Amino acid sequence: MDLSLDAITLPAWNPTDAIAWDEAFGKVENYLRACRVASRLHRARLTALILQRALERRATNQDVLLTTLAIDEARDLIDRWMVGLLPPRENERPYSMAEGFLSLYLCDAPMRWPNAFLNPQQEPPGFADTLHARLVKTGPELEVSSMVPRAMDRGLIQGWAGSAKDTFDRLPVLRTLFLWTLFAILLAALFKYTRS
Amino acid sequence: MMSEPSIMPISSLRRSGLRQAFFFTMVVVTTGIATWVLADILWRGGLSGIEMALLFFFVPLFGMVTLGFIQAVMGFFILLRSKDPYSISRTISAAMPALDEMPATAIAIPIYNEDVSRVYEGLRTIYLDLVRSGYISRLDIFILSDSNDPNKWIEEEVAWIDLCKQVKGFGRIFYRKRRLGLNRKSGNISDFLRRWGRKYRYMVVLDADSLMEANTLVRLVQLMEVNPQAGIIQTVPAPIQGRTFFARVMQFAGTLYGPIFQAGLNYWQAGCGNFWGHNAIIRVAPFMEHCALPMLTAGANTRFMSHDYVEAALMRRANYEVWMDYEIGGSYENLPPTPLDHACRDRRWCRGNLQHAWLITAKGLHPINRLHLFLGILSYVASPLWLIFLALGSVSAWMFWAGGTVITFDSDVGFSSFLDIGGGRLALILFFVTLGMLTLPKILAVLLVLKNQEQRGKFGGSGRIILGFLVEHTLSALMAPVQMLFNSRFVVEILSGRDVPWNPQSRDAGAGVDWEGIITAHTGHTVVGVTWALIAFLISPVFFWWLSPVTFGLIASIPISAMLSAPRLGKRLRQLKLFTIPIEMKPTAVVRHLDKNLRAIRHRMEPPDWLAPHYGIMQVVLDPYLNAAHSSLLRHKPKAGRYVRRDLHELQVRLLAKGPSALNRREQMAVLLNVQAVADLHDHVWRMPESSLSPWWRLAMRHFNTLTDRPQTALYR
Repeated sequence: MDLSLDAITLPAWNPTDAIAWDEAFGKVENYLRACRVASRLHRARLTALILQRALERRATNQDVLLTTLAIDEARDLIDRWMVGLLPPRENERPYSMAEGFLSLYLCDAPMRWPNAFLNPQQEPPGFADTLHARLVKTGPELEVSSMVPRAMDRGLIQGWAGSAKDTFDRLPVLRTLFLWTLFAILLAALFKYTRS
Repeated sequence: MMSEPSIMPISSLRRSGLRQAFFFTMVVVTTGIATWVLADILWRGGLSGIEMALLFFFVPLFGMVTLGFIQAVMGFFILLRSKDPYSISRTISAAMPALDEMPATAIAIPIYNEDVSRVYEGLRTIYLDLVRSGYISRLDIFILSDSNDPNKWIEEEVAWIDLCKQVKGFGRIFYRKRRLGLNRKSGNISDFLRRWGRKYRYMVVLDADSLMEANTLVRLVQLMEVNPQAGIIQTVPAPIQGRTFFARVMQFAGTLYGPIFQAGLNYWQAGCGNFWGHNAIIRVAPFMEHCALPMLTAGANTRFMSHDYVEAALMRRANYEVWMDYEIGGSYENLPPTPLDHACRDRRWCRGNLQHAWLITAKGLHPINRLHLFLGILSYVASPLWLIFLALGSVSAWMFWAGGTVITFDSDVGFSSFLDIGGGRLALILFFVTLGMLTLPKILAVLLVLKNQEQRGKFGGSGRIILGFLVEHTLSALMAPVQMLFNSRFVVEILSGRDVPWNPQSRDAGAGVDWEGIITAHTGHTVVGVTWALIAFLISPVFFWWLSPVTFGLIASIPISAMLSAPRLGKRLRQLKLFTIPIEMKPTAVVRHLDKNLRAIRHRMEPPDWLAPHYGIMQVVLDPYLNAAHSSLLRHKPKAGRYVRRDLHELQVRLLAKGPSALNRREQMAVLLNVQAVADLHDHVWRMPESSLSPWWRLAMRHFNTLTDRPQTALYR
């Protein structure tokens, strides 16, 4: 992959396209910042390179928005850089970009090697080896077994209270009537008590 | 230096029958005498309906007071001897086990929308202590998340990866997020056990705010190895990090009074103890075989909310013992910071405990476990009983005032005539005996600490201990009626079928006092207090003063609650060394480490208010690293069906075009749980022109890149 920045030709200034170019520039730069490209100079050079490639593609993709083209180019660039960086796999399925980002994240690459991102010409020693060693594992090997409740005789409670609860759950009107009846009994008892 | 094991729990279990017989005889005799005295006071030519009701409610209420009193007295005499002969800790020697004697043990931490910083800093402290101790290779740590708040979930993932990176914990600290939080905490643990339980002989369950020293973890494993009949050993977590006035008072009371109650509890329950759901070690195989939680009722679709008591009862039913080790130390937890948080927790526990009524008569349960279940229910039902008792007392007074003769102590009959003191004086004696039984355990605990010079110093000195006791006792008396009304409401709501949401517990106070919450919660209490006091005054000024301890607490509930919730006041009290506890005076290494890290985190820069509610979504969608990390932790399912894809697409479009608040929490979770949707969102948000994105996303992009130079997490080096 040629990431040489020496022969960058920035798009010619065209006032009619200025807003679209500015937006594409801002989006690509933001994206590179999200990728933790810390150096402003490196970020600016990469942005210019990406915009130039977007300009080249635009000739055959007139109906695609400039911002979209530019981000596609940026991601394509990152993708190819990561494929070259990560070791080949036995099943030969290429790494996804997400796996590449994960490897970089797990070894703290943005912190440890802030200038290594998309910079194959100046790859720090040990960078690639550290990436290879990283994997994420959320749990040990499964040893599936069962845990099921045992049958339980609830005794008296289950007998009368359980059936009453089931009936009340099934027939909420009955429950309401039952509560009203209790209230009426309470009133009657008070009435009788205060007159005895 | 501890010598060879002096007792084995199995033999102490045989003796525990005698202890239980003695203990409960004391409770029954004391309650019986008090009931008889009250009956004697009330019986002046027969018992009226109200008097019979008063007597009826007096029995369980006084029984509860007596049980606590006798337990504390027993505990006091046990601790006077300095070493508890009934403690399971005595079954192991002081020597730590060799590494190859340590069986594989899992530490399970179920979490649900918790304060991520607290969870992971606690975990970091435990992990590093285990590394220092050299036993880390024998323990695996599992964070078991049921969080359904997208922000919390993403924060947990990021924090997990960061923690593992920082402490080199990959392959030792694991993170699992359930897609569906079935059966809450117990379902989370069961799910973990079904997948990995067979790999481990023991499991230590910790709460989100738990902290445990490596030595304690190793000791617990050692205790289980030495006592093969033990199914669960529960530690007694010491309260730490109380910042508010309330939390400081609670931790002071727990630390000062706790030991005599715990020793007394251990005296009578022995190997029929309880499980409190966390800070305990569990023997995995019998737990899996016997302790799967049954349905609430046969045929119902819900399980017990408070699983721990049930699991302890099931473990005991399978002939395994359940012990409480209150001497082991090195086990900590946080307390609710305010009275309202305490009430919220009580509401949840209340429902869980009331559900235990379905098990009281279940066959095969040990009588002591039935008693635990019953006492758990009574601890909440006692509030409405007390309320009714007081209301009946008020009605009696009113009837007497209105010209009735419901209660009169003057006639010279009954037991009081033999003592020649009259019914009124006998009633006063009973009242002061009850007060004494409520106060004496605390006084005994204070005396126990005062007699030990070292202990005295750890609590800040004699003066501060006595002042703390007086203030705590006054405050608990003032807050008791408020608690009574809270619990009575909970009981009524729960029995009438109102749902109790599973809200995460608040474990730390914010910066200030939540006046709105306090006023909303306590206005009703104030109204009840004022009305009751007015009625009492109309009945008789004497009755007004009799009732004043209850009514004053209710009337002043708003200022008292606000005062207790204030972190600033808590800080001032700490500076004055009031309500000081030993762990503050001389913190252990793990507590010091945790404190230091949490203090550092409190000073971190928070995201702006408009961004904070959806910060997690912003991170996953915008940040290529976190997007990749989050995707890698999701289950890669076969391609979703046509309708699912259509719905997900609609959600993604809405999320980007209208912002995260256009999706409810379930919709946000649905998007974040789908690998393809997560990748697509990241792709779209960057490829789309700004004009197609909602203002929220446009602003988020700017903030993201100005504030963030690396993934924001709860953890900092």
